[in-house]
Amino acid sequence: MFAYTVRRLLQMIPLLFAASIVIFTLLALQPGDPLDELRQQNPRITAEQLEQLRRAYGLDQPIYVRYFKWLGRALQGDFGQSRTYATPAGHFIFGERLPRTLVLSGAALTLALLVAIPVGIFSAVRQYSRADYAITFLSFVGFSMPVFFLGILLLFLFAVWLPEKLPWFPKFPVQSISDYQWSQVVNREIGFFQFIGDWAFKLTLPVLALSTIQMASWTRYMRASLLEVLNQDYIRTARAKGLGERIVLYKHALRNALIPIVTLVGLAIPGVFGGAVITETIFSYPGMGRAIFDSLIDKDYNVAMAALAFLALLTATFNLLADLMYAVVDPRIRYS
Amino acid sequence: MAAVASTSQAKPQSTWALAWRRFRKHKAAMFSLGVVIFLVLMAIFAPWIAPYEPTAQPTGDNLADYYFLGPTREHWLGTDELGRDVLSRIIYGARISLLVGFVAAFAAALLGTTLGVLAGYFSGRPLRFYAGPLARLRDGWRPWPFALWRVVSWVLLYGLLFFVASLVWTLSGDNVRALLGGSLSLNNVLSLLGLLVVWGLLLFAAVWGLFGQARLDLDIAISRFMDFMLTIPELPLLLVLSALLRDPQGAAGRWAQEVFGEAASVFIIITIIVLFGWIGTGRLIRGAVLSLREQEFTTAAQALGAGEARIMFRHLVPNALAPLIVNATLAIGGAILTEAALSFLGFGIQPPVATWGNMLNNAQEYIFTAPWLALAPGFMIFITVLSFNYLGDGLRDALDPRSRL
Amino acid sequence: MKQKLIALWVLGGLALAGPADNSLVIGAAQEPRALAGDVVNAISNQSIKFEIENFLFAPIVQTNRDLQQIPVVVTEVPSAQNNRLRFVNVRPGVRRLELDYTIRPDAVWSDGRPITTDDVALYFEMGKTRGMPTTAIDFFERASLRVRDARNFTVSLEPAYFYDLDVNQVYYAPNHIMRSEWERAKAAAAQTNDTARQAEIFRNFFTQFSNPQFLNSGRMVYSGPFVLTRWVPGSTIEMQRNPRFWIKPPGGEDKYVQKVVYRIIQNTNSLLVAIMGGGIDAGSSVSISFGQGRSRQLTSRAPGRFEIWAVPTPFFEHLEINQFTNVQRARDLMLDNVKTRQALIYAMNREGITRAFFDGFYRVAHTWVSPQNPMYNPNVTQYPYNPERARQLLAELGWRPGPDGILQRTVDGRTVRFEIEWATTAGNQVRERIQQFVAENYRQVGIAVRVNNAPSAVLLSSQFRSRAQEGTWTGFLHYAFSMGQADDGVRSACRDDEGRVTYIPTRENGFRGLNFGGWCNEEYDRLRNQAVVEFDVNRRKQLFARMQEIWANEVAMIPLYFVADARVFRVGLVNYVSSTFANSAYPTIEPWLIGWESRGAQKVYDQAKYAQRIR
Repeated sequence: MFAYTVRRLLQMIPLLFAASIVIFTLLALQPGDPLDELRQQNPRITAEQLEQLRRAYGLDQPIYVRYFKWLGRALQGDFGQSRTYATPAGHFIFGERLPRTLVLSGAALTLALLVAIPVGIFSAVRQYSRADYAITFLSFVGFSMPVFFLGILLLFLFAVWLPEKLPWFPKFPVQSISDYQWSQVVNREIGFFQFIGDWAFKLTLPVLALSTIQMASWTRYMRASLLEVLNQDYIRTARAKGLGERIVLYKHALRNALIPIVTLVGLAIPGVFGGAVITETIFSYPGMGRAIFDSLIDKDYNVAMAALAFLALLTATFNLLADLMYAVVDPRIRYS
Repeated sequence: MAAVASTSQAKPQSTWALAWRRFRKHKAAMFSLGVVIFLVLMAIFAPWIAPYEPTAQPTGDNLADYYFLGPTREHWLGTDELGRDVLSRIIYGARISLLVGFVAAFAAALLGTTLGVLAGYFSGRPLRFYAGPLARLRDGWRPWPFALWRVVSWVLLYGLLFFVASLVWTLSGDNVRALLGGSLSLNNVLSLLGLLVVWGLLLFAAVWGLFGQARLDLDIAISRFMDFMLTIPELPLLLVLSALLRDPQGAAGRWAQEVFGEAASVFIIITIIVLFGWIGTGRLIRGAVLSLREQEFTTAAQALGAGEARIMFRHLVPNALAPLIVNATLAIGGAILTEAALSFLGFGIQPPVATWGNMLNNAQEYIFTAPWLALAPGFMIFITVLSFNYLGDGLRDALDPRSRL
Repeated sequence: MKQKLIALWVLGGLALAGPADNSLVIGAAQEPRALAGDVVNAISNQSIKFEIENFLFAPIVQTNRDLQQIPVVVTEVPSAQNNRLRFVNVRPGVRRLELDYTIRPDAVWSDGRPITTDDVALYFEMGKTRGMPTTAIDFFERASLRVRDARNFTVSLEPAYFYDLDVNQVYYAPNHIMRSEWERAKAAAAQTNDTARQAEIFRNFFTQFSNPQFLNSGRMVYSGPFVLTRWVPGSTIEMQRNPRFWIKPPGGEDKYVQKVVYRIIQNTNSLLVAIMGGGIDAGSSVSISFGQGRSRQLTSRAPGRFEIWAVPTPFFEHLEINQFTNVQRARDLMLDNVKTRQALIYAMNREGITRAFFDGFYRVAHTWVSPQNPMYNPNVTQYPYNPERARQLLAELGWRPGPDGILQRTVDGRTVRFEIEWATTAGNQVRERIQQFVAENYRQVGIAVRVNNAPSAVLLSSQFRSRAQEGTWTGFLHYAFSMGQADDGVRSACRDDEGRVTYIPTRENGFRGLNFGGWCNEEYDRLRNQAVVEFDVNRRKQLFARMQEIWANEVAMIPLYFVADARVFRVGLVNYVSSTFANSAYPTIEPWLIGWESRGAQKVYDQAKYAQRIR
């Protein structure tokens, strides 16, 4: 196990190296360059001025030279300056956007798990019952509802329509980012509960929208996985031994049924860090997803590179963790 | 299917007949099968079923009167922002949406199966990967593909070494020249040291390349390649692809224009979905093959002298078919949804081609004027995803050898 | 406590909007990347930045909504009458323009320090420093500053162009705040010859003074009627009235808005929901689309609550036509032939588009000059929808209907179908809608349209747009650009005054220039080269009038329309008025006049003069 872990860790180095090269090349190949906007807005700009600016952005050097310069600085923690925001790219991504995204996507992931696991179990235990059909139907509605549609629908319902019809109904805000900051709590400008309450209230709708798909698909997976286990011989043996249905279910079946869910969640975690561009866009929540999308559109490659390289690292790490976790929870799997 | 059926020659009829009998018991799956067949027929016979052309627009003076109509006798599902019949567009939209779903799922399954089987079957049995020109080994030139690869790999290795050597010089050359010119600074000294160390390593590698040989575990290579693919971000890739395929100067662009013409955007979407979609299948098959290859029937086939390829694709793949089919049916629904999401970001399939995804995205633009426009495409996507999922459920139960009748 | 908490939740941070506390909440679909400290626009030149900075910094002179210039920081606008404006002939065809300014004695920064020529000098010094990544690079190359004393200075421009009189380009920076850091940055930049490094040093310098952390610390000074109090990135920008601002609105400043809050909501559909929900008093110039402004859910809620206006902009929606004869497809279709272009425009039901899509709020454009521009010439050739005429013109050119109903002709033994490629920004629903509408028009005269849309990042990149000569696009390129007050017709120009082809992107000039389709007309170029240095408005008008005639006769491009923007604000908000040109496209010019009628603010500008009401 230990040797396997070490070997996998060693294999990660060339993997990440290759990934960062590919990402960097992809960014360098992006259509247009940072000077396009300038050309567009300053029709009178001359060739010499453009050349000077090209040099100023370092665009006159070949890709691989730029890559190694970037790598050298990135390994020291310097991701360069954001071209579009008045801040260093590293601070922008890791200091500003990442914490916010963790709050939103983390909450959505937790909610999805909290709902999906019990509902999935219920659905599996009562297979082919009316409740099972209802849950299945609902989970498919959630699964096939595009989030861009669901988002606007939720907003309109909770921010306009319901408050208009029902005077007592709280009007949900369109901006889901709170104006309160943690520093204000530390400085005792606002109360702790006020802070938490405001954030929770504003995050309600985006968390709901974001968790819907995961909720729906994990319910399905949980149900399928548990059904699979319940068909196994050892469960029949356990029942034959005369063990209570509850003990069979929670002690024997559930533990094994959770194995594939663990992997799924492990693989979903890098996505939590990557943010959700569509949800963030609709609910005005500037997180990682939006940062990556905007940086690509604005050709802000320092920011894009910092974020994408970080995500590649996370993906590889959690991939490894999921594999190892599998070995830990499933005694049948052995790594040599 | 036919090829698969003929492999299990012992009792070909009854295996599939058994599965079919089990499948028929799954009511939801049967119903879904009916829906899927209906959808496919609708797509195929669209020109005969659709009441109007999908691009037909009203003519006359007060055009705006024909836009955004609700359901009427002439237009059962109303009209859209150009007065086109929504029902006809839904029927024609099935063509592209289902095409994207089927082709993407099938290609992903094919690619994933091939690589997954290779990885699983050769796991723990490293293959010869490199043998230097002066390396002494038996059968160094057989079979012929290896001989060819052996020569190519020399070129690749020494080409790479030369590239690295020159790259290091590009990066450190300025500082080293400055140092030799007499400007002594820590940075310059470090540059020189780095240069010497890297060049030393390269020299070592070059000598090893003459005599050495290396083996490669296909499983490690393919598994790490899957991990690698997971780390590649989709969005920049989409942008680069759509730019490359539109550049008539570049080879890729010319090719795409010639082969696909207007359908280039369909091609891009399918490519992207396949590129990221095969990984799940690959892992699944690899896992299945890892356990299957230890079973008696594989050993028996090996003892009988069956070739590697025959064992892999005639014996192992058919046995891993159940999870593969389930996975593929789920992927079809997923691909249709992915197309809808890409439309929202502006990377979807281009008009005037109608797909459920871009119809839904268009409707989103008019959600505060004509909200009902979203209902029809939304419902179609829902019913398709639902059907394919039930179909997958039914197939899993039917193909699972453990499930009882 | 609990009740208070719930009340807070309910108000959700949008507490006490509008006249209740004499504040103004504006919704914007974009966040500025930098504010205040980025004086030479080295980091950002987004319009949302300029819109917000109108509140924070007083301009030297301001072009108002009626295109008159009014002095703000200075005592008078330079003119020939007050002897503050001079022309010096440098050599034939090149003139130097000299402008004298005097800073008002009561013009002060928000910390009470007077605004002096030191502040202006710092601005010029920054802009003219080598390696400075400013977008106004062209201005700083032509401009020089002469400081006469603490309050008097002269700006000279050489060579001078006509728009130097119409558009203010002179700004200033707080010397007492930025000087010492600037000296340090300048010294650091002088140490290296690496331009990339220099640009980074300068951008870092401006970043220090324009990021939220610095601005929230309260160390920045402002000169406008408002000062920034809080900037929560990604969410809110708050500003408070500056009591030291020297221009007082009629009736006293306490009758006008005291606090302004910008709320950033990127998705315009979400922004629309916020407006309908009542949390927002007004939309910024970067807010909902025209279609959203007319959506039923909004208009049905508007009576008594909102005013919705369609404000014409100089945003020129058009189709450029590939006229490079070396591109085979363009040559096959004879796109360089004026008759073909006329047929293409006659066959297009542009009136149908403006009526059916925009309820007539948009007008068909005839040239690139907008009707609000003083240079506008209404008497040019117009091309009303006339499919008969189009068919006739095409028949004259030898096109005959083929078996599939599409026109065809034989060139060098090949049969050529009339299939024209149309490229526009994918995902832009208005453009895609027009594209499909016209495809139907064209089908009726026997022209096929081949759609080749790409994401705007691809389509508007230089590799695609500037390379019509290499056939990246072979028919129509459909997009829009802004034809501001300073527009000099360069986007249709071909040769410069020395007769070289400089304005058409070609392989020979490294694909520079903005005349992407490659239309080239000698008379147009001659007139244009005269017009850019013609400072007499009436004579320039004549030159422009003739240029427009040529342009329309020749169908240099296919003009569609000038975009109108939807602007929404709450009933009772006054002087939050948008007009067409330059800075006045921002409703935030002369921001000291913005206020609520119910709080005693007086109406000075009437939106009805500059826009049409949407009901």
